[in-house]
Amino acid sequence: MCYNKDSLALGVAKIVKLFRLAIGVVLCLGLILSSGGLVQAQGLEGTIKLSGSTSLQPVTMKLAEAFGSEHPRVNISVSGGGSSVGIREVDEGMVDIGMSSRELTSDDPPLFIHPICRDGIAIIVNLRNPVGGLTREQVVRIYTGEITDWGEIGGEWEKITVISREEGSGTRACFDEKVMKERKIFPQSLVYNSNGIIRTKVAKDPKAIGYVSLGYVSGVKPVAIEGVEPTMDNCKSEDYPLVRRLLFVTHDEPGGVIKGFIDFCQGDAGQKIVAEAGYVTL
Amino acid sequence: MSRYLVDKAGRRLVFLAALVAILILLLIALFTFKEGLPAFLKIGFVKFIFGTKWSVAGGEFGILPFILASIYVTLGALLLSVPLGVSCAIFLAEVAPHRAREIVRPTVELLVGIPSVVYGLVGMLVVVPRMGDSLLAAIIVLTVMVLPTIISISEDSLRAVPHGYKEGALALGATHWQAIWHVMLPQARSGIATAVILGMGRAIGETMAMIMVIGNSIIIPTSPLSPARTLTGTLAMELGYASPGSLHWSALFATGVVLFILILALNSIAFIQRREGEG
Repeated sequence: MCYNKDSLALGVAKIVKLFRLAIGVVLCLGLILSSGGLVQAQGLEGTIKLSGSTSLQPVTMKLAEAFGSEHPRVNISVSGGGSSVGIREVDEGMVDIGMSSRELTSDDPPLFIHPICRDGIAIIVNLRNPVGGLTREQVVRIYTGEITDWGEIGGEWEKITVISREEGSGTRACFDEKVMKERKIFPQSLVYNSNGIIRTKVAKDPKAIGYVSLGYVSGVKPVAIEGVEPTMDNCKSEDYPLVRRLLFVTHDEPGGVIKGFIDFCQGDAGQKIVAEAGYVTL
Repeated sequence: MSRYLVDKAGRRLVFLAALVAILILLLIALFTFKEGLPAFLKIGFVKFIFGTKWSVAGGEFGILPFILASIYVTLGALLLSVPLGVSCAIFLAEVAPHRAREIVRPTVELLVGIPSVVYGLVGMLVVVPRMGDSLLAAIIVLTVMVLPTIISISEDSLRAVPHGYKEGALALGATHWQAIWHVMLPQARSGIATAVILGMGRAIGETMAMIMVIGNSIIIPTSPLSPARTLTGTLAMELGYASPGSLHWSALFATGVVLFILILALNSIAFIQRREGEG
């Protein structure tokens, strides 16, 4: 009765071996390729570690890539975790730069702030939803559970699936501050913990409403708030109300390679990448 | 003499390995309890376990909704997966021709190796659009995830029933099905119970797939179609935001303590069951 198990175990062992071999080959290739880059005479070198907001993560990765191709001896690693994680880890010295999609509060440690770009938060619905615009008051009443049906606000008579972010998220903080003000999101609302999941949920559910960072609007329909569409221009002029700054934070006054990277991001080349990635320039 | 020494050293070495395993468990438990203790003291044990509101901004930490959700999805998944899994085990052990078993059994075992985020993704794209983000969606995803455990352990325990028992039943004029139902299954009972309890352990600890389909609303679920949030889901979603030493942080570890005790209790039951089965 154990023959199958044994042969399965053997198979697994084989796969593990192959996998190890593959990793070895990739590592060797990596070494050969990176040693080729050593000829570069560019001045900056070192490692930069970033973590924090998932709203900033995609654009930061693009910025890191561009910076890395200019300075091949600079190694940049970008991980997510959320704004609060970034702030904590930079304070504890685990990373060099924290990414935050919310302003620092008095509860946060004192850190140096470097605005990188701005971001709009789009309120999104399914592509099939006929509702194209809402007032701020309507959004508030949807998220407090007073309006429960699309029929009440010009859609088809179907129950609204309300999707929100988790407490602690920078996107949620901005939504709370700029839309909800002192009202509270009702506990029956669904809670998901990333822009990507909320976009997928709204794209799959014709009755859903959610809010995501502007860079994530694709396959879903952003609605106008008070008649203002969340376009790049409207965000830049801040006619659209849901605009926030996205920040890098550092523990000390940045120097060396870290200063180089931040200057690059805030400079013309960096801002061009910011705009291409769908974010609002400074 | 030297053979004696090697033997002794070998014994010491494996003993040490066993010790490390226990030590790791002990340290994890100790750490979780230490971090969670302030929450129990500040909030109060009863208020923490039976509180129905969880709001970080409001400083309210009650985990009854999470406990209930975790129990509901676990029981629901077992309700679906036990009949299905045991039936499948009977098929594999007693009914299936050798060739069919050669195909089904490895397939079932491969299901264990699929990362839970993949189950979550499939659940999100296939199950949720049909019934919404709900307990039921979570139960269905979880059922698929615990099936392999239940099937393989139940099958092993059915096969461990001595041949003579079944042959005796058949010789007395029982049909094949009667022999399975009245002789084999009662004999394999403790093994099947172990399978159920191990499946339960996997179900209650499942995190990622649950987060993606259950809706994570902080409410006490009132129907199978109601969204809910599990104990593990709360930990995974919020630990990143809690600053070490804060009440939120401690409350999350206290949630971990509750989960720890739940899982410990389940495993103890499994252990006792297995001992009874052997004895």
